[in-house]
Amino acid sequence: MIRVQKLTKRYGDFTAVDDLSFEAEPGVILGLLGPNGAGKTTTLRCVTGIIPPTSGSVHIAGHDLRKEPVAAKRELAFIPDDPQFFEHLTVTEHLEFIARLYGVEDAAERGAGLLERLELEDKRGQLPSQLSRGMRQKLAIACALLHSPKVLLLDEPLTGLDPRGMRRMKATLKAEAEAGATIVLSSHLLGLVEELASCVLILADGRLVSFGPIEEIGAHRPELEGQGLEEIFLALTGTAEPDGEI
Amino acid sequence: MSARGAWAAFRYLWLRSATNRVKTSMARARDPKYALGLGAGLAYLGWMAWMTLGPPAGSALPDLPSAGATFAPLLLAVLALGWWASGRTHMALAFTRPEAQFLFQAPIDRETLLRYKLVRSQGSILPLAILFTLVAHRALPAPLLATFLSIWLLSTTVHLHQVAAGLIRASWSSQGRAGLRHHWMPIVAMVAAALALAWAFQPLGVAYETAEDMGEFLASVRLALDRPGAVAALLPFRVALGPIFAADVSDWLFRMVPGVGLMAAHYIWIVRIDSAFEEAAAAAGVELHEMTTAFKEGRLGLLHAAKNKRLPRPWFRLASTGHPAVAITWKGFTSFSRSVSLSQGAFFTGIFFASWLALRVLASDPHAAAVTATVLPAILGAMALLLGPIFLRNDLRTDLARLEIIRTLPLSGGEIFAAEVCGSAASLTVVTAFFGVIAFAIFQLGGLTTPTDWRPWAALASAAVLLPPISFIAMGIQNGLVVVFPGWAEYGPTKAPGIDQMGEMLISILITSVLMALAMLVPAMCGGAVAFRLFGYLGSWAAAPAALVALLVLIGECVLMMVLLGEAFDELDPSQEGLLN
Repeated sequence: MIRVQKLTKRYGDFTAVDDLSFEAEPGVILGLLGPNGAGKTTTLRCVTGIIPPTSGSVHIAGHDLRKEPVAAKRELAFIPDDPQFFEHLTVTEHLEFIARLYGVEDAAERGAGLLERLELEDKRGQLPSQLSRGMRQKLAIACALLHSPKVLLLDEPLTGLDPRGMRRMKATLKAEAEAGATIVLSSHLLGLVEELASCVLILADGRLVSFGPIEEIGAHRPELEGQGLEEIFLALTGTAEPDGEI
Repeated sequence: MSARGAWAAFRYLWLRSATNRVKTSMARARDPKYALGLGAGLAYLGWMAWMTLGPPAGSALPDLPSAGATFAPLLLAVLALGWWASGRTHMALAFTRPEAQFLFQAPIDRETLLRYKLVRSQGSILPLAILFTLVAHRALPAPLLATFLSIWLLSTTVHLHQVAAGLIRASWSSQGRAGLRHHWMPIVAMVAAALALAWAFQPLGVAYETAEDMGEFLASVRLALDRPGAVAALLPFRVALGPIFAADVSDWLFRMVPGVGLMAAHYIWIVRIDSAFEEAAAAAGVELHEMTTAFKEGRLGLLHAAKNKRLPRPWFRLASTGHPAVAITWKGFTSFSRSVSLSQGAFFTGIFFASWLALRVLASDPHAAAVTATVLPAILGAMALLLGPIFLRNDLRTDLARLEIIRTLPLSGGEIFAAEVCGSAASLTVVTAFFGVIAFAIFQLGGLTTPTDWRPWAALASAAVLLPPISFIAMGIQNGLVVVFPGWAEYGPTKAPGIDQMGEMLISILITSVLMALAMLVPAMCGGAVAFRLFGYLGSWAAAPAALVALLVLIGECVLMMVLLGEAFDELDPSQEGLLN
């Protein structure tokens, strides 16, 4: 569903993402991990077509993002870490706007269902500026799910959500994956990734450090056997601190 | 923290901010297009300085000092009374959001915070004083430096006055009537000044009715200004403005003494006001931030509507099926339609027709009154078409801040570009057409044409057909500049303002004017050629095929613009241009 081959993104002399390749099949939740500045956001932006890669290719649901950008984008949805909205459109109007863009024919029913699921029903007529941070995050999720994307990319999706919202969000992501969507989840919350993801991709300094099912990523390091994702992540990225230090 | 330690931190903040701002400008100037902006900005400043400091060419307004000294204190007094009555002075207390976040929780006493605010306000007062000096210097008799110091003194005193009024209002908000009682003296003084002015100007109603011309009425106003009540009420305002209108250096020095005294008195007054202003200052900072952002995004009207919980419905409903690009145009136009209201339209229509009726009553020639009343909305319509693209920004320029959404939409660059431009072009068409229809209505109703004359109707029909593509091109040029020179755009992440940005703005205006002239030249020439060739056969009717040809050429230009700039938008790398965080 997502195929990334030899993806490289350079800014002058600085290489943000270096020769990255990976694939994720339908139904997979892929956790994208890495320390700050590892290239996670740049990777997500390249995969969603927001910024052009310097070299390499990205295929979304069989469409080459460079050659068929419109067809590829029709199949994906992206929720950035700080979702932006059109300040002059209400919650309902955002859904109507998205419905028209993606040609969602049963938008009214789907929209109503999403608003109910995300507890946004009583916010229908409100502008984004009148919503709390968590409500804005929920609106971003509703907009992303309205057209039933085959590929869903999320950058820190739990930001601003309350515990109940987090639980619902996790259930929603699991349900979307079970329905056949490919989900890429970038987060520093390793517990969340460990709970949801069937596969992880770890980046450091723009390079692929490890990629595969959680139980296999530390397999080549015997000392990591039986360790949790946090220990494996810290060991693989070289960011582990000696005991007792912060 | 001691006050000394706090001031060391403040100095560090200002110095590092200024240094980093210069560094950012210099780093940007490595790019040739931004270096060009820097060069243009410096050239403009040099030209301004030469025009100001060069040999005097004689004042174009020889009576300004005398008229200013007479009427400016009254104007300032009315403004000051308005500030106290409306309470808008709380904005003078505004701390920026980072300032409120870091300084209000820091161990800094309230007086030091207040002094910080007063010093920082010089950052905006000084450039304004320089600007006004450059503009007004030649019309005033005092030397350049004296004029600058006078304007700076006035601006600072006015700001101090606003801060004082804001502090008293904050005291009222936090302590209720007790706060008002605590500061009864300035409130009583302002009320007394208002009553004294009202008493002094009370005879002006009769003078207005009996005056034969404006000169006679102004003479009555001068007499009213000399009445004891007005003299007393306007004294502090005359003192504040006095140095600006000084006749020479010795007169200026003489007037500066009370002027500086008034400023010092305001400073002492502020420092002695013991009011908890932090909450009001933080709220004012948030309000200022909201207003600035809303203004930049062209949604000030929406801000007021949202606050009043009266959100207007979109002018048309968006169906969930159809071409997806329509959604972007709908979104852009809804942004405009929610920033205006039918009542505003009715109000301005009423003003135009009331002006016409007033002119008919006052002027002896109804024909001349109708011409004047027609020309006014016609000029405003032309100005809307020329300047509207700069101010109506409900298009790609605003959406640069949302590129993470826009770039993931399932649309080609050309479709996104065209749909964005259509939204703002439709808005510009509505505004221009509004003034045009009013001008046409007065033209028809004013008897400037006969009912059987078809030519005004043909002109109206041509304008109605040509206006949308002309609006599209005007908006397309502005959006095209954003696509080609995204770093010059005002939207997206905040950039440090500087000379290069001023130069960039000048270059943008120049490029826009040239491109607009070129874009209009081709259809005008084609239409003109058709009219010239067919006039012999069709007479005045040749205007119809000429307008049709011009329309076709304009549409061709729109399509060409959409294709070329759409490709440019596709190739744009927002991360390279600093448009993404």
